[in-house]
Amino acid sequence: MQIKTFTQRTLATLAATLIAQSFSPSFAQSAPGNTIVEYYLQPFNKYYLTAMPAEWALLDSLAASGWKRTGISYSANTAGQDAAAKPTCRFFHPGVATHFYSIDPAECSLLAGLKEFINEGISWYAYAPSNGSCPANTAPLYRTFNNGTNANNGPANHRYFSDYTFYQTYAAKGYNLEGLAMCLPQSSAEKRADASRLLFQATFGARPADIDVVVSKGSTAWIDEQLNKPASQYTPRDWVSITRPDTCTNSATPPLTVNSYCSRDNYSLFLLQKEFFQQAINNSDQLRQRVAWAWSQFFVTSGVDVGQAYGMIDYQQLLRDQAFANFRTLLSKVTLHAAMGRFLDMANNQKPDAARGIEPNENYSRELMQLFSLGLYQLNNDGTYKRDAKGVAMDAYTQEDVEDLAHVMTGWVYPTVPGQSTATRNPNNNKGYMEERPQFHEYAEKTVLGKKITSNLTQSQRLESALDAIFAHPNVPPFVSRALIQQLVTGDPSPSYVDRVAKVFQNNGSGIRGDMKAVVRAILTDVEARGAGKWEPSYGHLSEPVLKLTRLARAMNATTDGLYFRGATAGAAQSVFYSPSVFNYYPPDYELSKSGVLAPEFAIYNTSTALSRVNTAYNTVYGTITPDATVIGATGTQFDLSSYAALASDSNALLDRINEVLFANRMTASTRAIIKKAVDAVSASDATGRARMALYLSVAAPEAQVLR
Amino acid sequence: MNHTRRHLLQGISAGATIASLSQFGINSAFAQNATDYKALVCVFMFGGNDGNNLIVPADSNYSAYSAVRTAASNIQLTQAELLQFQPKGSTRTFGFHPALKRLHPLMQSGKLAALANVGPLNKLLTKTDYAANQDRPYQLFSHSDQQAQWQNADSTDFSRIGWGGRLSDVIAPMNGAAVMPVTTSVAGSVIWGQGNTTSMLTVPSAGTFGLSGTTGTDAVTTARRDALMALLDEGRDHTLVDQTASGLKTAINLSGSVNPVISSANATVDPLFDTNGNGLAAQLQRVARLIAKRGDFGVKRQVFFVSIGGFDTHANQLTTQQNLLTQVDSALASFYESTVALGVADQVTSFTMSDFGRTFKPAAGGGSDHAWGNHHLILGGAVKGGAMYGAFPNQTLGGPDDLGEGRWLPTTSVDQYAATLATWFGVSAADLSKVVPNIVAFATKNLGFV
Repeated sequence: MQIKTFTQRTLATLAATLIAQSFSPSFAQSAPGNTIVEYYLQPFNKYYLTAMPAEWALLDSLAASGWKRTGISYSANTAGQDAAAKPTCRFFHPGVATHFYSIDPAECSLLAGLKEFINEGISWYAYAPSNGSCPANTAPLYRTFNNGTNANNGPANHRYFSDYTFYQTYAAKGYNLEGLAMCLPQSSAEKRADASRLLFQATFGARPADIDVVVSKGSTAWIDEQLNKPASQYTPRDWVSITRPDTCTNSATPPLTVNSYCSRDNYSLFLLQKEFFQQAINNSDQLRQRVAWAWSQFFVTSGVDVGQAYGMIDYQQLLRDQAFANFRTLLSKVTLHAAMGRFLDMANNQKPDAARGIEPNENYSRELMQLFSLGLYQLNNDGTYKRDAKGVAMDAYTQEDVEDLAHVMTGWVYPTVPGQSTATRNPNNNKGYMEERPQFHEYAEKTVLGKKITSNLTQSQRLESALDAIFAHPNVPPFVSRALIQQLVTGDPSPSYVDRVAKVFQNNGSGIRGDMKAVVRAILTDVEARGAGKWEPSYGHLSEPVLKLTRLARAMNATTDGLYFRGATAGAAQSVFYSPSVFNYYPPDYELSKSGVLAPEFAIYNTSTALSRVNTAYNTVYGTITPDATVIGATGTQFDLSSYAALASDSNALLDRINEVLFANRMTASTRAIIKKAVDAVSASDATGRARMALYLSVAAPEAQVLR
Repeated sequence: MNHTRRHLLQGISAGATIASLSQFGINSAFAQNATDYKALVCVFMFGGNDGNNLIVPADSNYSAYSAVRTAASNIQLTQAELLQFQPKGSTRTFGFHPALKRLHPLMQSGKLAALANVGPLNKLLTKTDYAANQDRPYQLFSHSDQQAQWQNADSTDFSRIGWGGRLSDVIAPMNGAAVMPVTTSVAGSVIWGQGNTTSMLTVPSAGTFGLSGTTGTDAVTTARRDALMALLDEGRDHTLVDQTASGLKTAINLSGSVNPVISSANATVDPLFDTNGNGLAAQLQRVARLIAKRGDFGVKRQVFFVSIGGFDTHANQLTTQQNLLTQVDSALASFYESTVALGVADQVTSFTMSDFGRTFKPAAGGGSDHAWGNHHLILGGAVKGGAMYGAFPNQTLGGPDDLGEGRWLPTTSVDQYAATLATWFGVSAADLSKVVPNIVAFATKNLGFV
């Protein structure tokens, strides 16, 4: 009955009424379509959802009155599209001027019987949750309610969210989080957007064909397949003396032999960096390589100190091989690897020597706790600080812990050089694992994080006992989980996201703590990772320079020997495996000074690197990368832009493709218009030129530099 | 909410430099008529330089040094190799690390001063206070936190705002309508230069600073350039997108005027630097080039940040520190000479900072561990040099200044160090707490070294 009163109104009358009543866009009940668009009425701080194209036209025409699209839209079903879909009723409450949508027939009947509510009919068709969760292949829609008591939020209103992260942030604004309202169908475009987002998170970038693969397999199956792929192999190198022999130089004199560039190949990470990019761009074990790259920024070693390729190659291969191992295994292997021993001075560290007046050096013991396992402050399981009665964050360990742990970790020397006899102190050798020398070990009882490391244990047992104490510390699950979430998904994860993943770290479901396979799966399948679109305004992270470049290369279907790329990220402050210190290129706790948002990658984003990032993209897209004549087997880099060029005569089709690959279908209409205009300035006969223009502008666009 | 966006003027390619004016908090309404020119140059030694081997007692007190830093510890400098000086007003003799060959004469000619045992403090502490965990700066001995506190000049709470940035906030009006930011880093992003209302310009230490692929007047190049500029205004309701766009927009705006200065040879200053294998010298050469063109930028006050890393010498300290301090010596001396050549020696003051001092007691492997109080250098024509400021610690293990293993309790705070430099730079007593928030906790607000 009430419906009729609306249908009888003319548009003009409605527009006037709408402003007068604060919030009442509802009018002619037309058939709902497949897309729900969210609008915002700025003067009254109201949100409104509608799937009716006629209402869009009306509201768009009322922009001057404060109506605007938020940019958020969802999929819905139309009548009869799917028998399993149910009608969603829409009611309007003029008293508080809010709309209410429900898929629950009982709720709809209840409201229909209340005179305060105006029944506005069926808003769209969707699915009912079952036991509090959504059926497969549907997306949750959560409901919040602002009861109007908080002045900042304006009058009472509901807002609906599909993005769980965004939904949660509304609690802090004073909204009630009312839970799951209904489940929406996922359009093909939304499934592809989610697949593209997964590829942002779990690979070095999407090749155009990858999206089809993820969609056809499904996210979870694709992740599991990736978790079980064997590791790409770096080409190992043999030990060299820490001092470069005078005979080991670089020579451009032909012929090119394996010794021509002896100095470069042995005493820098040139070949390792080359292979890193070659394999990151070409190989299929994408998730493993990506997680290994994350570990290399967690368990940091650096070519600044460990500059001989043979040792760093061995260390980086370890991180790949153990990428999905148990964290406790990683702790042991990283601690005892000779490259780490060299980098943080655990190799040749020894017990106190009164005659020489020396104490064990504390470098590794401190950074092991500060950076590799615990962090500075005691954490709750959701990663927030535990605080004392005065609200002060509590230190996770003391200087005494650092000193005692340093004592427990004494007595390790470099591994015996292959082909040489074992010595009390072997020469520098950064490959493999350090060896015990009990005569240099401090056996006195020590206390690490409250655990006694007794003197009756062997040197090795004492080390493992200390690592057990660290591994058992309640900080480890949230600290490690958050670090990996930040690397893969978002820089400022919600506490609940950290908590869910940390619980999987504590127990993988089979009683195992530290199962990284389970942790990585939990990170990538979490409700805050998956979904077609994330709308919370600080969600995601700036693509770090390496990822920005590999993403472009893979989007351009590159075939590469990696050489070009190895030198192309230094200007953006991320030369691969040359972190300036153990604190990585950027710290996990870096926050933007104005907003306070955690945004680690911005620690190396400044006017200098901002230009470098965009210029590197320009050089990559428009340059020609020829084989490097100083490297045996060099092939250069070739890009295959044919799949873009084939679409280029229709710039909209070209942009659809690029939108999917580089924007996860989030390109805004205005961004599209800007890029399209530039693409159209290139002659349609120059299909590659059009593809290049679109690719360059897309990777340079701030919208696509941020992964979300 | 969206501060940057609100303050950006429209238009980017034309009138590009004007557009960034308000972004940097420069408000010509408050411009003072600064007729002089001054520059402050922060030289940060990342990793924690071991001040105990930067300045060593060279008189009879050397025996106390060598008793702890034994010959067998592989961290000892011999008395003979020290570059000796007797600070003005002191009866004691000290020696610089032998790498400071070119700085040593500047100490003797009064252009260089030393500041002893300075470190982050919330207030002056006694050993008893420390033992009782009273008013300790947070996270002592942690690289990241102590770097931050040196750069914040505030140890009361963590902050992403640095005292160089706050100095820039206060001093910016003196630059009138200049679009060049007060602060320039030639060493990447750093807390020190981030202000509340001003941001720093970061320029590369090598290579050019400009946008590729935008020169040319053909239709395609023009379309590409116009599109890129337009894209910088899109999507800025997302915090991270906004931040990305702001950095790029500022860079493009300023690169046109800055790039020719930093990338082009300067016949006056370039020959004074040996940049071969010395990144710090390369950075300071760019600072000198910028100072040489100060008139073109219309600036009266400039703040610069340069850095050198690798000082975390837990092992092999003798070799590493020799190498690094040789670079510091060469770079700083060359920079001073270039200010003389430019006629601004009295208007440019350089000073050092570092994460922390290191344990006086040696660590296994010929190194030293993270500590606290440290010694620093201040250089320039305005410096009241040839002297040592602050109090040199008593180097007795377990003595009055030792907190354990030769970690010195600082007797001068970073706050006082920063406040002294800020005062020379032109910050009034009334504004001092805007630069150094906790300076009120220290009775002496000017250490008098400049």
